[in-house]
Amino acid sequence: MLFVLPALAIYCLFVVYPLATSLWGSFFEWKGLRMRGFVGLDNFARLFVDPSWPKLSGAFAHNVFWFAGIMVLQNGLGLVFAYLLFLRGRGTAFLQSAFFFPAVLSPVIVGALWRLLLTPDGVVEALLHKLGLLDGRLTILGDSTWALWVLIAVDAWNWMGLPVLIFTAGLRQIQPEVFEAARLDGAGAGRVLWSIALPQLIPSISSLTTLTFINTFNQFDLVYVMQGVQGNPNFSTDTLVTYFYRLAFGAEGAVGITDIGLALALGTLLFLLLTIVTIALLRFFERRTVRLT
Amino acid sequence: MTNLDIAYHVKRLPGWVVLALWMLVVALPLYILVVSCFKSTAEIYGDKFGLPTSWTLDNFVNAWTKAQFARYMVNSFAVTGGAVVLTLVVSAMAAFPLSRYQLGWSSPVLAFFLAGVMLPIRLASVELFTLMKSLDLLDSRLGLVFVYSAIRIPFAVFILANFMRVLPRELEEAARLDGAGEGRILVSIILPTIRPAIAIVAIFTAIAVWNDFFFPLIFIFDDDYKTVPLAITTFIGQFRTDWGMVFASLAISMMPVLVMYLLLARQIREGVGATGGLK
Amino acid sequence: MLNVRLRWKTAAIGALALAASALTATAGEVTLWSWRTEDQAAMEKIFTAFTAKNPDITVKLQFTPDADYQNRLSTALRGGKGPDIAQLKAYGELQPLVDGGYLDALDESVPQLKEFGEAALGGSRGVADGKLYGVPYSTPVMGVFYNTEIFEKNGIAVPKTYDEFVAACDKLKAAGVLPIAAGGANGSAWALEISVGVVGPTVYGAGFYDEMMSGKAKFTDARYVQALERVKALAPYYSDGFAGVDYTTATQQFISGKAAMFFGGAWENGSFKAQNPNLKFSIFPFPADKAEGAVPVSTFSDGSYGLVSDSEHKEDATKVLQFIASAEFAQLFADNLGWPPARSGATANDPVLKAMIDMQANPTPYLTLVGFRWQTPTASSILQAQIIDVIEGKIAPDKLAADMDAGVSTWFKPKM
Repeated sequence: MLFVLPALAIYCLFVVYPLATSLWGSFFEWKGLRMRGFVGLDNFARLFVDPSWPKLSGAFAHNVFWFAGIMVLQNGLGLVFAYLLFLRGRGTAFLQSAFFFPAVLSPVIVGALWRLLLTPDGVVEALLHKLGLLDGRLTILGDSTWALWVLIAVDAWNWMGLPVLIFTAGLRQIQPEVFEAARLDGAGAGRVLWSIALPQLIPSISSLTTLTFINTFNQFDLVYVMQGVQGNPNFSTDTLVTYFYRLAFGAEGAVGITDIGLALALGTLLFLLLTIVTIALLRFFERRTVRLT
Repeated sequence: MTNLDIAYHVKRLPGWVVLALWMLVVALPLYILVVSCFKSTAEIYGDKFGLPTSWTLDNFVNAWTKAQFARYMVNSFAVTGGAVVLTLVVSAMAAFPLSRYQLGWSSPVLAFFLAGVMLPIRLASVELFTLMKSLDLLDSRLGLVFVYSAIRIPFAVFILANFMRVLPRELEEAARLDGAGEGRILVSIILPTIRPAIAIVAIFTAIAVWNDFFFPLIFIFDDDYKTVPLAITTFIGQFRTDWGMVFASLAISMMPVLVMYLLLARQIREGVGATGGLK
Repeated sequence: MLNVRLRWKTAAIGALALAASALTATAGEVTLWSWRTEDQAAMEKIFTAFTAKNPDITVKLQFTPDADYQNRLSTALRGGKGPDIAQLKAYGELQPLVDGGYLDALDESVPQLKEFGEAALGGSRGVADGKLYGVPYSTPVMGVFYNTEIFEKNGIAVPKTYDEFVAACDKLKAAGVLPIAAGGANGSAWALEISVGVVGPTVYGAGFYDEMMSGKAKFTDARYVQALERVKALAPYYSDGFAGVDYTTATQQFISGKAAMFFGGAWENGSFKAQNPNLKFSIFPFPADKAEGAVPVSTFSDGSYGLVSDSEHKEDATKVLQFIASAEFAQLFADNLGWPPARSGATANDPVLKAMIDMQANPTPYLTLVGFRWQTPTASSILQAQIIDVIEGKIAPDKLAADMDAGVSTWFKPKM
């Protein structure tokens, strides 16, 4: 028992305790860093009216788009890549490693790099000019319609290696006879992937979906580095965590005033959302897996 | 080569093209990064894709001296090293009894740790800030070491316990009969046999800590204690016009993970496949 | 595997050694925080002059880019880890720090403040107690920086009316020169708010500020909407790819001689010169419709340097603040940074600085900053968020004006 204590102490002090007090604190009024009286659900109510509501709903929508975008762009493409690598078997370890390399880089570096590449008169613009896909300046990072999707694409570039590795590991665990039988039946590679491999990949899909969900709803670094903590332009790349940061650390409205009560209420809701959806996702996939085997 | 072979290869060609295209998408930005480090800023604007006309190390020198990058590297190494060591030590100690003894409380405690793998700790940052303030751990590398260890312990305990559980019981029985204490058994018998697990935990902890930006952002204010990712964000705001220098600083800051990746790509690949991700 | 473990071992030892030696601030060292990353070299020079006379005190300068400065400072102060001296924003943006009790009043400890004019001091007064919480350093004006060489080469004189201004832009554009370097990408929207500050007064007039303060006029006033429309109307002359260009890039276009004009404040002077000593430039006030009398120009107190209450080096820090309040500092400031010092009496050795001081003939407070940055949502935060989309034509100017009005009416109380 004694052996467990140091880990337990550090974990409780720096993770469990702050989290618990944060949840508790969302029911109180705050002045600066000082907790005032109990106000019940007031903070939560304030989240859903002006001036918070447009920010909250916007940030939530962006997180949902982000999740959907990553699921399709990163995990979908990642599955295709993994399958292509799997079919080719040997000699693909190098490609796997190369694909995964961006994932060991800090999102700060990735964001800063892409920000430089994507500026007007930058590398991407020059490339698009050469390919004849664009004339004039490349301004997508300043365009409130496109900026969010650019960030999602950069995030997918960053983490593409993850689904590739997880899916190839998943594919390798499938009995080779299964593929053999399907091939003898004359099924094409695409069909084999869709109707034979995919159902067997449920555990991989499950962990990827859950991971993607947790990561997108914690998204902060890329937005901060590429668009600033205000989620420029015009909050079009704002996420729940950047909004939380602004409320908690005085960057909302840029005058250094915090609204801890509102921040903690947002944190509590986000905590509930993350926990409930994560558990639901795991349950959902678990049931699928059981039924299939 | 028979006709069948050729047909087989032709059929595979589109797949290779797709893979090669993505390889290009991954490699091109990194290529630009590398060549830009050696160009003057004027040349970066002028010729974006070519190799530098004259290879200069000025950008690296500037980043290192003008931006005092060395101290940020030292800070990052200190924090990462400290967090990896602390996480490994306490997690190994905790995983040992939780996985090797049949105790009533071990599985609830394990579940309690496991929950931490998914806890959104960023949302607790306000209270964490207050806590760090009262412990006088703000603006301190030691403070970051504690926070990172706390965040990484759940994952570490989970992985180490899983590996320890499957070890044969006889392994420690003999040592116990010889009168070895629990600590000795852990250090000289259990740990050497689960080296792969220790490597996975160490690698993933190191990557996660080295790359993190959020906690330095809220806990570190003095330039003397900033870690590399935090310094980078200040830095690009401050020296944005000097592109060569910014590229060079990005290259310097990815160097340690690059070296580690070149040495350990296989372990990392298998680790990710086995644990389902490191984020 | 072995060499990897070795590396971690050394790293761990390094960590312990560092932890042991941490947190030993040097005696006689005063930390000063600033958001003026552009002025680092000049400020180092100024404070070296101070240390030369006060050998036992050194000033350690640390810079955070403007976009993050305010929340980083307030977070640090909340954590008791702030600097000894902090550069402070003026007016409303100062108040949260005063209210939080993070700053010491300076009325007693820095007697030199009595020698300052009220226009300079107004920005660093605490609203609740009327005390001074900072030593102001500058009252900048805002106008149009222009490249004198480009103007001469294209036969353009300083425009006296708005129509002349537009004609000059057309001429420059036809000649293949970028007329106005401007952009608002990635957190640079504050620079576009400056554009509104440059153009605005020539449309809504010098008296508009008082009308707004007394509640007679609102942002929805036709004059204000027209000012926004004028900023938008100049869009064809802004940098190519305007929405993706950020402030730094825009300044580079001007500094490198690619652009003829730049809308900015006095603070650009020193950093422009520092980055390109060969650049020939000056400044003129943005022209009104008719060339009558002195054009109204936005001005304000840019900020101040304040003493942090938690400082452990108050005595030394106060000496530094007394230096900042001195005539000597004002002169060093004028010579090295080239913006109008808050303390009058300095000699303007620099022609651009002289032009700026002349522009102060018909001053009007910089509306969104002086008047409407007191509580959230500030007029600035709404303006900065939407202005790119206004210029790009996605949001109508009157919609922005209405949003600004709705935002500030949640807290703004007119003074009768």
